[in-house]
Amino acid sequence: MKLTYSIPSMDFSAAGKASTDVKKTLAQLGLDRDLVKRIAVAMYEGEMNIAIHGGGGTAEIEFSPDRIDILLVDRGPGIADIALAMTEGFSTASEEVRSMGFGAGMGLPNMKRNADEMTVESRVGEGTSVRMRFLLGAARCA
Amino acid sequence: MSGTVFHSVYLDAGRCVGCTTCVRRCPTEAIRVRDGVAHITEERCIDCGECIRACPKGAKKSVSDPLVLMDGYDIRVALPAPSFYGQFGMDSPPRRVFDALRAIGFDEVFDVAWGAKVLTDAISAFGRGEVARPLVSSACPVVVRLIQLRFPSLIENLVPFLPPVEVAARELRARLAADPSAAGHRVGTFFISPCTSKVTAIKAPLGYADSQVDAVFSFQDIYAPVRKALKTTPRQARPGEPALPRIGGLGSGFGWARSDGELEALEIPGAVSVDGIENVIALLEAIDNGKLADIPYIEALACPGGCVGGPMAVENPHVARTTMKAITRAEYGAAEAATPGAEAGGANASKDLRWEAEVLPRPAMVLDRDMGRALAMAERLETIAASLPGLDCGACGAPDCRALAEDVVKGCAKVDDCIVRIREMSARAPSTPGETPKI
Ligand SMILES: Nc1ncnc2c1ncn2[C@@H]1O[C@H](COP(=O)(O)OP(=O)(O)OP(=O)(O)O)[C@@H](O)[C@H]1O
Ligand code: SF4
Ligand code: SF4
Ligand SMILES: [Mg+2]
Repeated sequence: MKLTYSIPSMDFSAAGKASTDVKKTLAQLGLDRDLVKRIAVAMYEGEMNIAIHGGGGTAEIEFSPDRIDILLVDRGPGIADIALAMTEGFSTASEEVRSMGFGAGMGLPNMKRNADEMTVESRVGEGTSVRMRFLLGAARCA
Repeated sequence: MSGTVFHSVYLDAGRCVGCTTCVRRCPTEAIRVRDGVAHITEERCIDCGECIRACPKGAKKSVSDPLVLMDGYDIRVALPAPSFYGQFGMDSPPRRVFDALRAIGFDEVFDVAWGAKVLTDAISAFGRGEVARPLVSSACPVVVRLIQLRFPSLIENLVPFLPPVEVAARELRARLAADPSAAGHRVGTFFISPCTSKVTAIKAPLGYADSQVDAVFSFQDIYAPVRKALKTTPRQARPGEPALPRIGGLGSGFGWARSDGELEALEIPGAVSVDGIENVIALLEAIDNGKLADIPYIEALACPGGCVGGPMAVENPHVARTTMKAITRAEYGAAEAATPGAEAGGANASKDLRWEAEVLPRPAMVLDRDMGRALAMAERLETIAASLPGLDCGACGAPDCRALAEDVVKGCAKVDDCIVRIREMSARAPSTPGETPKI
Protein backbone atom coordinates (compact mmCIF):
# COMPACT_ATOMS: atom_id res chain seq x y z
CA MET A 1 0.00 0.00 0.00
CA LYS A 2 1.24 3.45 -0.84
CA LEU A 3 0.05 6.74 0.64
CA THR A 4 0.92 9.98 -1.09
CA TYR A 5 0.75 13.46 0.37
CA SER A 6 1.54 16.80 -1.14
CA ILE A 7 3.26 19.18 1.23
CA PRO A 8 2.69 22.88 0.64
CA SER A 9 5.52 25.38 0.99
CA MET A 10 5.75 27.43 4.18
CA ASP A 11 2.23 26.52 5.27
CA PHE A 12 2.58 26.40 9.04
CA SER A 13 -1.13 25.91 9.63
CA ALA A 14 -0.92 22.55 7.84
CA ALA A 15 2.42 21.78 9.50
CA GLY A 16 2.64 18.13 10.38
CA LYS A 17 -0.62 17.19 8.65
CA ALA A 18 0.92 14.39 6.63
CA SER A 19 2.73 12.87 9.60
CA THR A 20 -0.46 13.06 11.68
CA ASP A 21 -2.33 11.16 8.95
CA VAL A 22 0.43 8.58 8.62
CA LYS A 23 0.35 8.06 12.36
CA LYS A 24 -3.34 7.23 12.11
CA THR A 25 -2.61 4.50 9.60
CA LEU A 26 0.28 3.18 11.71
CA ALA A 27 -2.11 2.92 14.67
CA GLN A 28 -4.57 0.96 12.52
CA LEU A 29 -1.84 -1.49 11.63
CA GLY A 30 -1.06 -2.05 15.28
CA LEU A 31 2.67 -1.44 14.91
CA ASP A 32 4.92 -1.43 17.93
CA ARG A 33 4.78 1.90 19.75
CA ASP A 34 8.51 2.58 19.58
CA LEU A 35 8.50 2.05 15.83
CA VAL A 36 5.47 4.32 15.49
CA LYS A 37 7.30 6.99 17.46
CA ARG A 38 10.44 6.71 15.30
CA ILE A 39 8.45 6.95 12.10
CA ALA A 40 6.38 9.85 13.43
CA VAL A 41 9.43 11.89 14.43
CA ALA A 42 11.33 11.21 11.18
CA MET A 43 8.30 11.85 9.01
CA TYR A 44 7.50 15.10 10.81
CA GLU A 45 11.05 16.43 10.46
CA GLY A 46 11.13 15.45 6.77
CA GLU A 47 7.78 17.05 6.15
CA MET A 48 8.87 20.30 7.83
CA ASN A 49 12.10 20.39 5.82
CA ILE A 50 10.13 20.17 2.57
CA ALA A 51 7.78 22.92 3.76
CA ILE A 52 10.52 25.21 5.11
CA HIS A 53 13.57 24.61 2.89
CA GLY A 54 12.30 22.67 -0.13
CA GLY A 55 9.59 24.99 -1.44
CA GLY A 56 6.96 22.27 -1.05
CA GLY A 57 6.95 18.73 -2.42
CA THR A 58 5.58 15.26 -1.86
CA ALA A 59 5.80 12.46 0.67
CA GLU A 60 5.24 8.84 -0.34
CA ILE A 61 4.85 6.17 2.28
CA GLU A 62 5.00 2.59 1.10
CA PHE A 63 3.92 -0.20 3.42
CA SER A 64 5.27 -3.70 2.90
CA PRO A 65 4.95 -6.70 5.18
CA ASP A 66 8.55 -6.36 6.33
CA ARG A 67 9.25 -2.62 6.06
CA ILE A 68 7.98 0.89 5.59
CA ASP A 69 9.69 3.16 3.07
CA ILE A 70 9.30 6.90 3.08
CA LEU A 71 10.31 8.97 0.07
CA LEU A 72 10.38 12.74 0.43
CA VAL A 73 10.86 14.71 -2.78
CA ASP A 74 11.00 18.42 -3.53
CA ARG A 75 12.11 20.61 -6.44
CA GLY A 76 13.58 23.29 -4.22
CA PRO A 77 17.04 24.86 -4.04
CA GLY A 78 18.82 21.63 -3.16
CA ILE A 79 21.58 21.09 -0.61
CA ALA A 80 25.14 22.04 -1.61
CA ASP A 81 26.97 20.13 1.11
CA ILE A 82 24.96 17.17 2.35
CA ALA A 83 27.50 16.12 4.96
CA LEU A 84 27.39 19.61 6.44
CA ALA A 85 23.58 19.67 6.38
CA MET A 86 23.59 16.38 8.29
CA THR A 87 25.69 17.89 11.08
CA GLU A 88 23.86 18.54 14.32
CA GLY A 89 23.21 22.23 14.76
CA PHE A 90 23.79 23.24 11.13
CA SER A 91 20.91 25.31 9.81
CA THR A 92 20.26 27.95 7.19
CA ALA A 93 16.79 28.72 8.57
CA SER A 94 15.78 32.37 8.53
CA GLU A 95 15.23 34.44 11.64
CA GLU A 96 11.50 34.27 11.02
CA VAL A 97 11.49 30.48 10.82
CA ARG A 98 13.60 30.27 13.98
CA SER A 99 11.12 32.45 15.80
CA MET A 100 8.53 29.75 15.11
CA GLY A 101 10.58 27.15 16.89
CA PHE A 102 12.37 25.58 13.91
CA GLY A 103 15.97 25.88 12.75
CA ALA A 104 17.85 24.09 15.51
CA GLY A 105 19.63 22.10 12.82
CA MET A 106 18.44 18.86 14.38
CA GLY A 107 15.96 17.64 11.76
CA LEU A 108 18.19 15.63 9.41
CA PRO A 109 20.32 14.14 12.25
CA ASN A 110 17.10 13.12 14.00
CA MET A 111 15.76 11.49 10.85
CA LYS A 112 19.01 9.58 10.44
CA ARG A 113 18.89 8.44 14.06
CA ASN A 114 15.31 7.21 13.86
CA ALA A 115 15.36 5.50 10.46
CA ASP A 116 16.97 2.10 9.98
CA GLU A 117 18.42 3.33 6.68
CA MET A 118 18.51 6.79 5.16
CA THR A 119 19.91 8.29 1.97
CA VAL A 120 19.86 11.91 0.89
CA GLU A 121 20.27 12.90 -2.75
CA SER A 122 20.34 16.50 -3.83
CA ARG A 123 21.36 18.73 -6.70
CA VAL A 124 21.68 22.46 -6.25
CA GLY A 125 18.95 24.19 -8.20
CA GLU A 126 17.06 20.94 -8.89
CA GLY A 127 15.82 19.63 -5.60
CA THR A 128 16.27 17.09 -2.86
CA SER A 129 15.06 13.57 -2.21
CA VAL A 130 15.30 11.74 1.09
CA ARG A 131 14.67 8.02 1.42
CA MET A 132 14.09 6.44 4.80
CA ARG A 133 13.53 2.77 5.52
CA PHE A 134 12.03 1.33 8.69
CA LEU A 135 12.26 -2.41 9.23
CA LEU A 136 9.36 -4.15 10.89
CA GLY A 137 10.03 -6.63 13.60
CA ALA A 138 13.79 -6.28 13.37
CA ALA A 139 15.68 -5.79 16.61
CA ARG A 140 17.64 -2.55 16.70
CA CYS A 141 21.13 -2.13 18.01
CA ALA A 142 21.74 0.51 20.66
CA MET B 1 -22.64 0.32 30.83
CA SER B 2 -23.35 -3.00 29.17
CA GLY B 3 -20.46 -5.23 28.16
CA THR B 4 -17.27 -5.93 29.99
CA VAL B 5 -15.78 -2.47 30.53
CA PHE B 6 -17.28 0.05 32.91
CA HIS B 7 -18.12 3.43 31.42
CA SER B 8 -19.60 6.38 33.19
CA VAL B 9 -20.81 7.98 29.96
CA TYR B 10 -23.77 6.37 28.25
CA LEU B 11 -26.51 7.07 25.74
CA ASP B 12 -30.16 7.53 26.60
CA ALA B 13 -31.43 6.17 23.28
CA GLY B 14 -34.93 7.48 23.89
CA ARG B 15 -33.69 11.05 23.73
CA CYS B 16 -31.29 10.67 20.79
CA VAL B 17 -32.51 12.13 17.51
CA GLY B 18 -29.51 10.95 15.52
CA CYS B 19 -28.30 14.45 14.65
CA THR B 20 -24.60 13.34 14.69
CA THR B 21 -23.47 16.40 16.66
CA CYS B 22 -21.69 14.21 19.21
CA VAL B 23 -20.12 11.99 16.56
CA ARG B 24 -17.86 14.75 15.37
CA ARG B 25 -16.93 16.00 18.81
CA CYS B 26 -15.68 12.68 20.14
CA PRO B 27 -11.85 12.80 20.40
CA THR B 28 -11.44 9.07 19.82
CA GLU B 29 -14.02 8.60 17.04
CA ALA B 30 -15.95 6.31 19.35
CA ILE B 31 -19.47 7.30 18.31
CA ARG B 32 -21.46 6.27 15.24
CA VAL B 33 -25.09 6.96 14.40
CA ARG B 34 -26.70 3.80 13.02
CA ASP B 35 -30.37 3.43 12.23
CA GLY B 36 -30.94 6.94 13.52
CA VAL B 37 -29.46 6.40 16.98
CA ALA B 38 -25.99 7.07 18.39
CA HIS B 39 -23.85 4.12 19.54
CA ILE B 40 -20.68 4.31 21.61
CA THR B 41 -17.85 1.89 20.86
CA GLU B 42 -16.85 0.90 24.37
CA GLU B 43 -13.21 0.07 23.67
CA ARG B 44 -12.66 3.56 22.34
CA CYS B 45 -14.59 5.63 24.85
CA ILE B 46 -12.37 7.48 27.34
CA ASP B 47 -15.31 8.94 29.28
CA CYS B 48 -14.25 12.49 28.58
CA GLY B 49 -17.83 13.75 28.54
CA GLU B 50 -17.36 15.80 25.36
CA CYS B 51 -20.50 14.20 23.95
CA ILE B 52 -22.44 15.18 27.07
CA ARG B 53 -21.41 18.79 26.47
CA ALA B 54 -22.17 18.56 22.76
CA CYS B 55 -25.57 16.85 22.67
CA PRO B 56 -28.37 19.37 22.20
CA LYS B 57 -30.98 16.84 23.35
CA GLY B 58 -29.44 15.75 26.63
CA ALA B 59 -29.19 12.20 25.32
CA LYS B 60 -25.64 11.67 26.54
CA LYS B 61 -25.55 11.07 30.27
CA SER B 62 -23.30 9.87 33.02
CA VAL B 63 -23.71 7.35 35.80
CA SER B 64 -22.26 7.67 39.24
CA ASP B 65 -23.32 5.89 42.42
CA PRO B 66 -26.62 6.69 44.18
CA LEU B 67 -26.34 8.46 47.54
CA VAL B 68 -28.27 5.68 49.29
CA LEU B 69 -25.13 3.52 49.10
CA MET B 70 -23.99 5.44 52.18
CA ASP B 71 -26.57 3.59 54.23
CA GLY B 72 -24.55 0.39 54.20
CA TYR B 73 -21.71 1.84 56.30
CA ASP B 74 -21.19 2.82 59.94
CA ILE B 75 -18.56 5.49 59.37
CA ARG B 76 -19.11 7.43 56.17
CA VAL B 77 -16.25 9.53 54.95
CA ALA B 78 -16.64 12.07 52.15
CA LEU B 79 -13.63 12.64 49.91
CA PRO B 80 -14.50 15.83 48.04
CA ALA B 81 -12.48 16.63 44.93
CA PRO B 82 -10.68 19.97 45.40
CA SER B 83 -13.00 21.55 42.83
CA PHE B 84 -16.04 20.76 45.01
CA TYR B 85 -15.35 23.84 47.09
CA GLY B 86 -15.62 26.00 43.98
CA GLN B 87 -19.30 25.11 43.58
CA PHE B 88 -20.70 27.22 46.40
CA GLY B 89 -19.21 30.68 46.01
CA MET B 90 -17.04 32.83 48.21
CA ASP B 91 -19.55 33.07 51.05
CA SER B 92 -19.32 29.31 51.66
CA PRO B 93 -15.67 28.63 52.52
CA PRO B 94 -14.41 25.03 52.88
CA ARG B 95 -15.06 25.06 56.62
CA ARG B 96 -18.79 25.60 56.03
CA VAL B 97 -19.02 23.11 53.15
CA PHE B 98 -17.33 20.63 55.46
CA ASP B 99 -20.05 21.19 58.07
CA ALA B 100 -22.74 20.89 55.41
CA LEU B 101 -21.36 17.52 54.29
CA ARG B 102 -21.57 16.32 57.88
CA ALA B 103 -25.10 17.63 58.11
CA ILE B 104 -26.27 15.57 55.13
CA GLY B 105 -25.03 12.28 56.52
CA PHE B 106 -21.27 12.04 56.26
CA ASP B 107 -19.45 11.42 59.52
CA GLU B 108 -16.14 12.75 58.34
CA VAL B 109 -14.55 14.61 55.48
CA PHE B 110 -11.10 13.89 54.14
CA ASP B 111 -10.00 16.24 51.41
CA VAL B 112 -8.71 14.88 48.12
CA ALA B 113 -6.67 18.09 48.16
CA TRP B 114 -4.60 16.38 50.86
CA GLY B 115 -3.69 13.70 48.32
CA ALA B 116 -2.91 16.39 45.78
CA LYS B 117 -0.61 18.12 48.23
CA VAL B 118 1.25 14.93 49.09
CA LEU B 119 1.56 14.19 45.38
CA THR B 120 2.92 17.67 44.74
CA ASP B 121 5.91 16.94 46.94
CA ALA B 122 6.40 13.45 45.52
CA ILE B 123 6.23 14.62 41.91
CA SER B 124 8.66 17.46 42.56
CA ALA B 125 11.19 14.96 43.85
CA PHE B 126 10.51 12.53 41.00
CA GLY B 127 10.85 15.25 38.37
CA ARG B 128 14.38 16.05 39.52
CA GLY B 129 15.50 12.55 38.56
CA GLU B 130 16.28 10.91 35.21
CA VAL B 131 12.88 10.98 33.54
CA ALA B 132 11.36 11.31 30.08
CA ARG B 133 10.80 14.90 28.94
CA PRO B 134 8.36 16.43 29.04
CA LEU B 135 6.69 14.72 31.95
CA VAL B 136 2.94 14.73 31.45
CA SER B 137 0.72 14.90 34.52
CA SER B 138 -1.46 11.83 35.04
CA ALA B 139 -3.95 13.64 37.27
CA CYS B 140 -6.59 13.75 34.52
CA PRO B 141 -7.76 10.21 33.69
CA VAL B 142 -9.01 11.38 30.30
CA VAL B 143 -5.47 12.35 29.37
CA VAL B 144 -4.10 9.00 30.55
CA ARG B 145 -6.71 7.12 28.51
CA LEU B 146 -6.25 9.37 25.50
CA ILE B 147 -2.52 8.62 25.58
CA GLN B 148 -3.16 4.87 25.87
CA LEU B 149 -5.39 5.03 22.84
CA ARG B 150 -3.98 7.66 20.52
CA PHE B 151 -0.44 8.37 21.75
CA PRO B 152 0.85 5.08 23.16
CA SER B 153 4.49 6.11 22.74
CA LEU B 154 3.88 8.86 25.32
CA ILE B 155 2.95 6.43 28.10
CA GLU B 156 6.55 6.70 29.24
CA ASN B 157 6.09 10.48 29.65
CA LEU B 158 3.21 10.08 32.11
CA VAL B 159 3.87 10.77 35.79
CA PRO B 160 3.60 7.20 37.16
CA PHE B 161 1.79 8.10 40.37
CA LEU B 162 -1.57 7.22 41.89
CA PRO B 163 -4.36 9.79 41.51
CA PRO B 164 -4.92 12.24 44.40
CA VAL B 165 -8.18 10.58 45.47
CA GLU B 166 -6.49 7.21 45.90
CA VAL B 167 -3.65 8.75 47.89
CA ALA B 168 -6.22 10.38 50.16
CA ALA B 169 -8.36 7.24 50.48
CA ARG B 170 -5.39 5.08 51.45
CA GLU B 171 -4.21 7.56 54.04
CA LEU B 172 -7.70 7.80 55.47
CA ARG B 173 -8.05 4.04 55.81
CA ALA B 174 -4.62 3.77 57.40
CA ARG B 175 -5.56 6.41 59.99
CA LEU B 176 -8.90 4.82 60.81
CA ALA B 177 -7.27 1.41 61.10
CA ALA B 178 -5.04 2.88 63.80
CA ASP B 179 -7.94 4.56 65.59
CA PRO B 180 -9.47 2.38 68.35
CA SER B 181 -12.76 4.27 68.23
CA ALA B 182 -13.22 3.13 64.62
CA ALA B 183 -12.57 -0.53 65.38
CA GLY B 184 -15.34 -2.90 64.37
CA HIS B 185 -17.09 -0.30 62.27
CA ARG B 186 -17.67 -0.57 58.55
CA VAL B 187 -15.90 2.41 56.98
CA GLY B 188 -17.32 3.74 53.71
CA THR B 189 -15.25 6.07 51.52
CA PHE B 190 -17.15 8.26 49.09
CA PHE B 191 -15.42 10.28 46.42
CA ILE B 192 -17.33 13.39 45.38
CA SER B 193 -16.44 13.91 41.74
CA PRO B 194 -17.02 16.53 39.03
CA CYS B 195 -15.79 14.13 36.43
CA THR B 196 -17.15 11.17 34.47
CA SER B 197 -13.70 9.77 33.76
CA LYS B 198 -12.88 9.82 37.46
CA VAL B 199 -15.92 7.63 38.09
CA THR B 200 -14.53 5.19 35.55
CA ALA B 201 -11.04 5.54 37.03
CA ILE B 202 -12.34 4.30 40.39
CA LYS B 203 -14.37 1.42 38.93
CA ALA B 204 -11.62 0.36 36.52
CA PRO B 205 -8.37 1.80 37.90
CA LEU B 206 -5.26 2.37 35.81
CA GLY B 207 -1.85 1.88 37.37
CA TYR B 208 -3.14 -0.04 40.38
CA ALA B 209 -5.51 -2.90 41.05
CA ASP B 210 -8.25 -2.05 43.51
CA SER B 211 -9.52 1.31 44.64
CA GLN B 212 -9.91 2.12 48.31
CA VAL B 213 -12.93 4.20 47.35
CA ASP B 214 -16.29 2.49 47.91
CA ALA B 215 -18.50 4.71 45.77
CA VAL B 216 -18.39 7.85 43.66
CA PHE B 217 -21.02 10.56 44.01
CA SER B 218 -21.38 13.28 41.41
CA PHE B 219 -21.36 16.99 42.17
CA GLN B 220 -24.76 17.06 40.47
CA ASP B 221 -26.29 14.59 42.92
CA ILE B 222 -24.83 16.14 46.04
CA TYR B 223 -25.09 19.80 45.14
CA ALA B 224 -28.72 20.43 46.14
CA PRO B 225 -28.57 18.74 49.58
CA VAL B 226 -25.32 20.54 50.40
CA ARG B 227 -26.77 23.89 49.25
CA LYS B 228 -29.70 23.31 51.57
CA ALA B 229 -27.51 22.24 54.48
CA LEU B 230 -25.35 25.34 54.07
CA LYS B 231 -28.35 27.31 55.31
CA THR B 232 -28.77 25.25 58.49
CA THR B 233 -26.58 24.98 61.56
CA PRO B 234 -23.84 22.36 61.64
CA ARG B 235 -24.53 19.15 63.54
CA GLN B 236 -22.49 18.44 66.65
CA ALA B 237 -20.13 15.48 66.77
CA ARG B 238 -21.49 12.45 68.62
CA PRO B 239 -19.60 11.52 71.76
CA GLY B 240 -17.01 8.85 71.08
CA GLU B 241 -17.11 9.47 67.32
CA PRO B 242 -13.71 8.88 65.68
CA ALA B 243 -12.17 12.23 64.90
CA LEU B 244 -10.58 13.09 61.60
CA PRO B 245 -10.28 16.81 62.02
CA ARG B 246 -10.26 18.68 58.81
CA ILE B 247 -6.71 19.38 57.76
CA GLY B 248 -5.74 22.95 57.03
CA GLY B 249 -2.92 24.31 54.91
CA LEU B 250 -4.03 22.51 51.78
CA GLY B 251 -3.69 25.55 49.54
CA SER B 252 -1.42 23.91 47.01
CA GLY B 253 -3.70 20.86 46.91
CA PHE B 254 -6.81 22.95 46.34
CA GLY B 255 -5.05 24.57 43.40
CA TRP B 256 -5.34 21.29 41.47
CA ALA B 257 -9.04 22.03 41.03
CA ARG B 258 -8.39 24.34 38.09
CA SER B 259 -5.94 24.75 35.24
CA ASP B 260 -2.53 26.17 36.27
CA GLY B 261 -3.10 25.08 39.87
CA GLU B 262 -0.95 21.97 39.71
CA LEU B 263 1.87 24.00 38.15
CA GLU B 264 1.60 26.71 40.78
CA ALA B 265 1.91 23.99 43.41
CA LEU B 266 4.83 22.25 41.73
CA GLU B 267 6.78 25.44 40.91
CA ILE B 268 8.74 23.81 38.09
CA PRO B 269 10.34 26.55 35.97
CA GLY B 270 9.34 26.38 32.32
CA ALA B 271 6.41 24.01 32.90
CA VAL B 272 3.39 24.39 30.63
CA SER B 273 -0.32 23.96 31.31
CA VAL B 274 -2.99 23.05 28.77
CA ASP B 275 -6.73 22.59 29.17
CA GLY B 276 -9.57 21.58 26.86
CA ILE B 277 -9.42 18.31 24.97
CA GLU B 278 -8.61 19.85 21.57
CA ASN B 279 -5.70 21.80 23.02
CA VAL B 280 -4.47 18.75 24.89
CA ILE B 281 -4.51 16.70 21.68
CA ALA B 282 -2.57 19.39 19.77
CA LEU B 283 0.09 19.47 22.46
CA LEU B 284 0.38 15.67 22.68
CA GLU B 285 0.69 15.59 18.90
CA ALA B 286 3.65 17.99 19.12
CA ILE B 287 5.34 15.91 21.83
CA ASP B 288 4.76 12.81 19.74
CA ASN B 289 6.55 14.50 16.84
CA GLY B 290 9.61 14.83 19.04
CA LYS B 291 9.07 18.49 19.79
CA LEU B 292 8.85 20.11 23.24
CA ALA B 293 11.53 17.90 24.79
CA ASP B 294 12.97 21.04 26.40
CA ILE B 295 9.77 21.55 28.41
CA PRO B 296 10.13 19.80 31.76
CA TYR B 297 6.50 19.30 32.75
CA ILE B 298 3.03 19.53 31.26
CA GLU B 299 -0.16 19.88 33.26
CA ALA B 300 -2.83 18.58 30.90
CA LEU B 301 -6.51 18.77 31.83
CA ALA B 302 -9.17 17.63 29.38
CA CYS B 303 -11.93 19.91 30.64
CA PRO B 304 -12.02 23.62 29.87
CA GLY B 305 -10.55 25.44 32.85
CA GLY B 306 -9.62 22.16 34.53
CA CYS B 307 -11.74 20.03 36.87
CA VAL B 308 -14.02 22.97 37.72
CA GLY B 309 -15.24 22.47 34.13
CA GLY B 310 -15.97 18.77 34.65
CA PRO B 311 -19.04 17.23 32.96
CA MET B 312 -20.75 16.61 36.32
CA ALA B 313 -19.98 20.02 37.84
CA VAL B 314 -22.85 22.39 38.56
CA GLU B 315 -21.42 25.89 39.00
CA ASN B 316 -20.33 27.85 35.93
CA PRO B 317 -16.68 26.83 35.41
CA HIS B 318 -15.41 30.41 35.12
CA VAL B 319 -17.07 31.40 38.38
CA ALA B 320 -15.85 28.22 40.05
CA ARG B 321 -12.33 28.92 38.84
CA THR B 322 -12.30 32.33 40.48
CA THR B 323 -13.74 30.92 43.71
CA MET B 324 -11.06 28.23 43.73
CA LYS B 325 -8.32 30.82 43.29
CA ALA B 326 -9.55 32.66 46.37
CA ILE B 327 -9.87 29.44 48.38
CA THR B 328 -6.42 28.31 47.37
CA ARG B 329 -4.94 31.64 48.48
CA ALA B 330 -6.77 31.56 51.79
CA GLU B 331 -5.81 27.96 52.47
CA TYR B 332 -2.14 28.56 51.80
CA GLY B 333 -2.02 30.58 54.98
CA ALA B 334 -4.15 28.28 57.13
CA ALA B 335 -2.47 26.32 59.89
CA GLU B 336 -1.97 22.57 59.77
CA ALA B 337 -4.22 20.67 62.17
CA ALA B 338 -2.46 19.57 65.31
CA THR B 339 -3.28 15.87 64.78
CA PRO B 340 -0.22 13.61 64.65
CA GLY B 341 0.47 12.67 61.06
CA ALA B 342 -1.87 15.32 59.72
CA GLU B 343 0.90 17.19 57.98
CA ALA B 344 1.07 16.50 54.29
CA GLY B 345 4.06 14.86 52.74
CA GLY B 346 6.65 12.64 54.31
CA ALA B 347 10.09 11.32 53.53
CA ASN B 348 9.00 8.11 51.84
CA ALA B 349 5.77 9.34 50.35
CA SER B 350 6.95 9.22 46.76
CA LYS B 351 7.86 5.54 46.97
CA ASP B 352 4.40 4.50 48.12
CA LEU B 353 2.57 6.61 45.59
CA ARG B 354 3.99 5.01 42.46
CA TRP B 355 1.79 3.08 40.03
CA GLU B 356 1.67 -0.55 41.05
CA ALA B 357 0.59 -1.92 37.67
CA GLU B 358 1.79 -1.16 34.18
CA VAL B 359 -0.32 1.19 32.07
CA LEU B 360 -0.45 -0.40 28.64
CA PRO B 361 -1.38 0.92 25.20
CA ARG B 362 -5.00 0.31 24.21
CA PRO B 363 -4.98 -0.87 20.62
CA ALA B 364 -8.58 0.15 19.94
CA MET B 365 -7.69 1.61 16.54
CA VAL B 366 -6.11 -1.55 15.14
CA LEU B 367 -7.94 -2.97 12.10
CA ASP B 368 -6.84 -6.55 12.72
CA ARG B 369 -4.50 -8.26 15.15
CA ASP B 370 -2.76 -9.89 12.22
CA MET B 371 -0.48 -7.28 10.65
CA GLY B 372 -0.78 -8.76 7.17
CA ARG B 373 -4.55 -8.69 7.29
CA ALA B 374 -4.50 -5.20 8.81
CA LEU B 375 -2.32 -4.00 5.94
CA ALA B 376 -4.72 -5.45 3.35
CA MET B 377 -7.60 -3.76 5.14
CA ALA B 378 -5.74 -0.45 5.30
CA GLU B 379 -5.21 -0.69 1.56
CA ARG B 380 -8.91 -1.27 0.92
CA LEU B 381 -9.67 1.56 3.29
CA GLU B 382 -7.58 3.93 1.15
CA THR B 383 -9.40 2.83 -2.02
CA ILE B 384 -12.81 3.30 -0.45
CA ALA B 385 -11.84 6.64 1.09
CA ALA B 386 -10.74 7.82 -2.36
CA SER B 387 -14.18 6.90 -3.77
CA LEU B 388 -16.01 8.98 -1.13
CA PRO B 389 -16.78 12.67 -1.66
CA GLY B 390 -14.42 13.89 1.06
CA LEU B 391 -16.94 16.38 2.42
CA ASP B 392 -16.70 14.90 5.92
CA CYS B 393 -20.37 15.85 6.33
CA GLY B 394 -21.14 13.15 8.88
CA ALA B 395 -24.52 12.34 7.30
CA CYS B 396 -23.58 8.64 7.15
CA GLY B 397 -23.23 8.61 10.92
CA ALA B 398 -19.43 8.42 10.95
CA PRO B 399 -17.28 11.41 11.98
CA ASP B 400 -15.68 11.78 8.54
CA CYS B 401 -15.29 9.99 5.21
CA ARG B 402 -12.19 8.08 6.27
CA ALA B 403 -14.02 6.79 9.32
CA LEU B 404 -16.82 5.51 7.09
CA ALA B 405 -14.22 3.79 4.91
CA GLU B 406 -12.77 2.25 8.07
CA ASP B 407 -16.22 1.03 9.13
CA VAL B 408 -16.79 -0.48 5.69
CA VAL B 409 -13.56 -2.53 5.75
CA LYS B 410 -14.43 -3.67 9.26
CA GLY B 411 -17.83 -4.81 7.97
CA CYS B 412 -19.73 -2.36 10.19
CA ALA B 413 -21.11 -0.12 7.43
CA LYS B 414 -21.76 0.00 3.70
CA VAL B 415 -20.39 2.39 1.11
CA ASP B 416 -24.03 3.11 0.29
CA ASP B 417 -24.43 4.69 3.72
CA CYS B 418 -22.93 7.73 1.99
CA ILE B 419 -25.99 9.52 0.63
CA VAL B 420 -23.89 12.20 -1.03
CA ARG B 421 -22.15 9.59 -3.14
CA ILE B 422 -25.43 7.94 -4.05
CA ARG B 423 -26.79 11.28 -5.17
CA GLU B 424 -23.66 12.03 -7.20
CA MET B 425 -23.83 8.64 -8.86
CA SER B 426 -27.53 8.82 -9.65
CA ALA B 427 -26.95 12.25 -11.17
CA ARG B 428 -24.43 10.65 -13.50
CA ALA B 429 -26.28 7.38 -14.20
CA PRO B 430 -29.91 7.62 -13.07
CA SER B 431 -30.65 3.98 -13.86
CA THR B 432 -28.07 2.46 -11.47
CA PRO B 433 -28.25 4.23 -8.14
CA GLY B 434 -26.07 3.08 -5.27
CA GLU B 435 -23.66 0.98 -7.30
CA THR B 436 -20.70 -0.07 -5.16
CA PRO B 437 -17.16 0.69 -6.28
CA LYS B 438 -15.02 -2.23 -7.44
CA ILE B 439 -12.68 -2.85 -4.56
N1 LIG C 1 14.61 19.74 1.52
C1 LIG C 1 15.62 20.61 1.66
N2 LIG C 1 15.92 21.48 0.68
C2 LIG C 1 16.94 22.35 0.82
N3 LIG C 1 17.70 22.42 1.94
C3 LIG C 1 17.45 21.59 2.94
C4 LIG C 1 16.41 20.64 2.86
N4 LIG C 1 16.40 19.93 4.02
C5 LIG C 1 17.39 20.42 4.78
N5 LIG C 1 18.04 21.41 4.14
C6 LIG C 1 19.21 22.17 4.62
O1 LIG C 1 19.83 21.44 5.65
C7 LIG C 1 19.85 22.21 6.84
C8 LIG C 1 19.74 21.30 8.03
O2 LIG C 1 18.45 20.69 8.05
P1 LIG C 1 17.86 20.17 9.41
O3 LIG C 1 16.52 19.63 9.18
O4 LIG C 1 18.88 19.29 10.05
O5 LIG C 1 17.80 21.50 10.30
P2 LIG C 1 16.78 22.72 10.18
O6 LIG C 1 15.63 22.35 9.33
O7 LIG C 1 17.55 23.91 9.76
O8 LIG C 1 16.34 22.90 11.68
P3 LIG C 1 15.33 21.94 12.47
O9 LIG C 1 15.07 20.75 11.61
O10 LIG C 1 16.05 21.58 13.74
O11 LIG C 1 14.12 22.77 12.69
C9 LIG C 1 18.74 23.19 6.68
O12 LIG C 1 18.91 24.35 7.47
C10 LIG C 1 18.82 23.51 5.19
O13 LIG C 1 19.84 24.38 4.93
S1 SF4 D 1 -25.78 14.75 19.71
FE1 SF4 D 1 -25.51 12.51 19.51
S2 SF4 D 1 -26.66 11.64 21.25
FE2 SF4 D 1 -27.34 13.78 21.04
S3 SF4 D 1 -29.18 13.62 19.73
FE3 SF4 D 1 -27.45 14.03 18.35
S4 SF4 D 1 -26.75 11.96 17.71
FE4 SF4 D 1 -28.08 11.66 19.51
S1 SF4 E 1 -17.30 10.27 26.56
FE1 SF4 E 1 -15.77 11.14 25.17
S2 SF4 E 1 -14.74 9.35 24.30
FE2 SF4 E 1 -16.68 8.60 25.19
S3 SF4 E 1 -18.12 8.64 23.47
FE3 SF4 E 1 -18.35 10.61 24.58
S4 SF4 E 1 -16.98 12.00 23.47
FE4 SF4 E 1 -16.37 9.92 22.87
MG1 LIG F 1 14.57 20.57 9.68
